[in-house]
Amino acid sequence: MTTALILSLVLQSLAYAAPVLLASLGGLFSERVGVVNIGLEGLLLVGALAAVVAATVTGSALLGVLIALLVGGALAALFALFGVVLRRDQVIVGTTLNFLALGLTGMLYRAWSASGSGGGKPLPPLTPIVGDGSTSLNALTLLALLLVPAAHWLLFRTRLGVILRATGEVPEAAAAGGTAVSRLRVLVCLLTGGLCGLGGASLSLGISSAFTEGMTNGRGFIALAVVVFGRWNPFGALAASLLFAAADVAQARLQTVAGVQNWLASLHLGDTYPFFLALPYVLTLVALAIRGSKVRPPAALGQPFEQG
Amino acid sequence: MTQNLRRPTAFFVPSLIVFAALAAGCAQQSGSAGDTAASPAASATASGTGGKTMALKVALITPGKISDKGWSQSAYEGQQRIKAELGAETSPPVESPALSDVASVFQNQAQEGNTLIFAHGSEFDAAAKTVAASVPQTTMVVMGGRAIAPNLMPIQFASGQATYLAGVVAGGMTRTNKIGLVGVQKIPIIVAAFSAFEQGVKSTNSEATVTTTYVGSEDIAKAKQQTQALLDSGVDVVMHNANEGGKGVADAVMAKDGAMFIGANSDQSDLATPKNLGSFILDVPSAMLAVAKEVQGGKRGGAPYMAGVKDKAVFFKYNTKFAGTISDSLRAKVTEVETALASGTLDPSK
Repeated sequence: MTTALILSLVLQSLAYAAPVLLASLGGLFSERVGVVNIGLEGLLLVGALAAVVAATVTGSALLGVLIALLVGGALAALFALFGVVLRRDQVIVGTTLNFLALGLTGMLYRAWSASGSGGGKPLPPLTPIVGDGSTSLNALTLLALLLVPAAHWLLFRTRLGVILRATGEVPEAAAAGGTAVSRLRVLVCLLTGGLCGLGGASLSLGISSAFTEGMTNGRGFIALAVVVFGRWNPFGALAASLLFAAADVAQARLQTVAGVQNWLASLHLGDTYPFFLALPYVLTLVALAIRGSKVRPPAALGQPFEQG
Repeated sequence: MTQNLRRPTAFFVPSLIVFAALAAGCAQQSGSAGDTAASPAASATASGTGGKTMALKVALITPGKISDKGWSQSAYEGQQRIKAELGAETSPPVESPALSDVASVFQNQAQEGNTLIFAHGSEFDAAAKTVAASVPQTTMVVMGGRAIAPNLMPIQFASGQATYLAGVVAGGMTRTNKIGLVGVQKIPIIVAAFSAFEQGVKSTNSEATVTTTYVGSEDIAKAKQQTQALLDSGVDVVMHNANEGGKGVADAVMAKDGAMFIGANSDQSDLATPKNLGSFILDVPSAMLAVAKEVQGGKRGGAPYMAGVKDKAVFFKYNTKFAGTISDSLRAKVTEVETALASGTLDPSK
């Protein structure tokens, strides 16, 4: 393996991990304060659309990213209203959010495309900081990576981190200590939305340079699994999302190697492509199976809290 | 206190769900608002086939979104063309239904008075075959299907003729002698198209190799990733058959020096220009219009409608904005192959 190939594999894995990583960091913060947000997929999708529309209209990729962050936060406010303030079942609210986002983005994207306001104007690309093609690194990927140690520091090295974790473990104790539990949870929901908005932007502006309906294709749900697999730890989330992305990058490369194709064909297992396409999922299952069982989720996860 | 807080909000979550469902429904139909405007008078006079004509009301089921700039969108354009040229009524298209629901979608469309239903993909063949006998008043047409019944006929595109032409172009243009294919799923219609492409490549360039890959979904990010893998392995011409994923393929080609792109199924000159050589085209609207005329003239089924180069329903369309040069000798070769395909002396499906 040449250095160029290794570099390309690493950078490509990082780029394709970024949307999932950003969403999983959002999900991680939510769950740490005791909120289950199934709606990560919808938040990602809304962020992806907002980024493309805003970047095209303003002609600035940076503004596209910022507006994706705000729109993600705004949709998450809806989740916070029903799931935290009004204490509805968070799983149902999150599921509803996903349907809402899928329908709404489809409707708005078509209306926008049909109106011609996006037509003609080119989408400003999110220019890579270094490199090009498969060996490039853009600002959102870098931001996602930098957020990992920052999130870890915040959660485990600061007073605010203790309060956040206490809110997810024993909200009564946090409340007794003077924390406005619901207000804190609402704020964290907004943070989750903002992170997912960034994740969506990293998918539509950072990777694809386009929006298509349903383009998140389950990445929000993978991010939910990444939170659990990463043991509610930012570095764990990084490892899990990288593993999945790297396996996917690897299978795409293996498909182009004639030797691998011929070897698989020689085994007479029938069609060879499902083996490639299943690889990331199989690896993730294996990793989940061999991980320790000592870890448990935050104790008050998904439980509504009423300040006494 | 708890009860007081909860009671006035009890309907909020259900109403949010309803709103979400409405939004989803609007997305399904927004592209086709106003389609149901009836013009029965026109349909009675529009048929040129003579004899008894029947009023058409045309329904459509697509496997993907009608905004995909590819396969599903072309079917929607076909429906619109039948409306415009034959004065037919239309029903809003049903987009990407679950395969388990397709049979009941057919039943509903027949009950709503549709006389002609286009199902835009071979995956709908089994359901159409099951339903056909129970909706005798309705003619069902499955794109790329095989099943035949008195009121069921497939449109079979000789897509291999179009991809063969694309292969001739790719084989003539490659500098690295490595050509890549990105497919969405390994299904017979795509396998056949790719096989004909490879024959076309070999006919102009016996040294070139073709690497075939599949994405497994229409995910544009994954299609881009797969294309990057191909380009990094030395491939310089990439043709796709990945529907929405084609945008990701184009994006990867744009970022790679010396790479070239071939579009799929419809004119995709807006993708990857100026690195776009052209697109192989299955002219779905032309084929659907031809079938609608036949149905209006009284044909109900029984035999497939074959659409090929001879009908101008499949061809290779050059991209006029390609930055490089496609030599006159290569263009002449393409024309020569076209003639052979039209006359039947060359048949890539054999």
